Amino acid sequence: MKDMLTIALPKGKLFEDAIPLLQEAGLCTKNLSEDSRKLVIRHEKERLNYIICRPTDIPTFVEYGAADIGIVGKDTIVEQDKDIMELVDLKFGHCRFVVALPETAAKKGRDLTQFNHRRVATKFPKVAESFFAEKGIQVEIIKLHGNIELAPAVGLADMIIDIVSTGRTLKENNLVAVEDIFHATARLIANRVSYRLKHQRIQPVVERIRSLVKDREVTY
Amino acid sequence: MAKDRNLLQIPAGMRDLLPGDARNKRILENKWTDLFTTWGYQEVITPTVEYMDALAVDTGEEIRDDRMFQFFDRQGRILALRPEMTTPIARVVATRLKNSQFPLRLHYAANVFRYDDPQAGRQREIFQAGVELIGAPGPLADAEVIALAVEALRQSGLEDFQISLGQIEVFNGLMEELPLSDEQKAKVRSLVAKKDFVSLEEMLAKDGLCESQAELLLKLPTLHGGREVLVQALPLAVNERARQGLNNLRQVYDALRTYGVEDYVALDLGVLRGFDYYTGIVFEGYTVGLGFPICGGGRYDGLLGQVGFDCPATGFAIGLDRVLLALSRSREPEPVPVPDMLIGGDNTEKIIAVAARLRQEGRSVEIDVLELEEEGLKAYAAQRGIEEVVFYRKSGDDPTEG
Repeated sequence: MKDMLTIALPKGKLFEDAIPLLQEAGLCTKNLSEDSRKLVIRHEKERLNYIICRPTDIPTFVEYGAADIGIVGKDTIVEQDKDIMELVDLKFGHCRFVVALPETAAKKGRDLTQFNHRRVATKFPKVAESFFAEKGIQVEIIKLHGNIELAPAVGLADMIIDIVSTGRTLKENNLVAVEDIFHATARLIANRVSYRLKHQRIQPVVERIRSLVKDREVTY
Repeated sequence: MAKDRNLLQIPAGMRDLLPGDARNKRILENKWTDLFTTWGYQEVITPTVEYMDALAVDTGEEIRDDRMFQFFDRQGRILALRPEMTTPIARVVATRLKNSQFPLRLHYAANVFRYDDPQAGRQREIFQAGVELIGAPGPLADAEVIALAVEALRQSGLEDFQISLGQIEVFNGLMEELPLSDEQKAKVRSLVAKKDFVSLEEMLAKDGLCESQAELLLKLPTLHGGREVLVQALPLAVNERARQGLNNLRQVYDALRTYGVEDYVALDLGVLRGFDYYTGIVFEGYTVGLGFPICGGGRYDGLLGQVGFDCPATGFAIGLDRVLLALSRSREPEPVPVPDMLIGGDNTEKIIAVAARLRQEGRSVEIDVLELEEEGLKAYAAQRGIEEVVFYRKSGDDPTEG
């Protein structure tokens, strides 16, 4: 079992960037396709397994050691506080966390301190909490699971914290980003026990991926 | 009246151990107690509840007060359930055993409590067994407890496990050389503890460390393997502190080879935990298929000083639950234990006498207390899987065996 490597890959936009990277790093990527309904892809001869799952579940698979290593966005990692090792910044899948206000409010003045005790809708309550705590602003955080931009339009919240890649969704919903919280990219993560027990298997993969992405620029 | 079903639930993170599990736990505990005893360790038992202040010491697991179960006594003093055993034992040594002949070898098997979010391998009540070797500063003491940890894991029946052995002073020595403020160093330590090497790399690049210094620090977690690591780590010996750390690691590793356990031990300078607590050797144990450590320990020369009795010490704790979990993964589930024999009938005197004799011989014997007839008794025994059934009649007939 020590020679078997299991890699967790996220469905969705990170998947397409992850495959060529793994291929370049010399890993067998045959039969890896998001459309296939297979969730586990085995390469017996190469002693390699892939798990394909929802991005938010990747840290869980890795934390329990069900997967040895995984690829996942920093945006997912920060919200979960899992006990995992974060090894390499893969430089793709860039997005930024922003605070956004309705255009009308933004025009009147962008100072967030005027938003004490207001409501903020977000998929990322931990990020929101630590951001506002640092600013010394007390807010009521409303956790939603999707379409955050809807919340201000119908009066559920006064502002939102969300991840943005192009900014189009914000614009379409008459929202303006008023503050960047931080930038996130995809990360190579590892289970802390696998990293030690399967070091001989994992370390070369990590080294190759690290050298492949070393001189890459983050694509915005 | 039936109770509200909710009242019959148990709090999150707590567990009932039913006969099979309870038996496995007891067997393992006994095995370890016997083992520790043969190595000259003596058991201590400390209270489950202590004053919060006595427990609030930063230990290797980074247990802060917000991770303890706390409550008040009637005088308003804060009490807590012990979150680990090393601090209570340090208190016992510093107060009640300080006039003993040192070194002291103590062991324990106890439940500890942590108010964590129940998640990967984290219950809120945890069973631990471990040892503390107090009053010996040298590498032989560290090697002894590590060899003992290996032996304990081996005797548990785990086949594939590994102890990763590091030395915190190598990291501490490196840190001394970095031109960083205290605040920045605290940040480095917290990133290393969180194992977020991406942010660490970013931070070191941003804070204008020259590349070679940053590289040394980032190289730490990749140094892993056998004796060759000691050579690969030579560039890390940037000052006396780091040099002594490496030297000590070599001495402990050599002693472990003499113990013949080097196949179970990997050198790993990336084992970095409990910065404010460990002062030398640190180690963690892992097994294949379990995503979190099964044991951990190291040298903590500063802890007893904090309770007013300056004294070097080293030790380890094994997570009994985690070892049992790993074992249950690799084994077929064991059947619920049944007694060797069931005795029934209406000749109560005879039954009790025979049962007493057999029990003294070490057999487990159940007496039928439902006053079943012979047929019923046999059927009952068959259902339970009890192989031997004896029925004694008052009339003096010969007993019928099934």
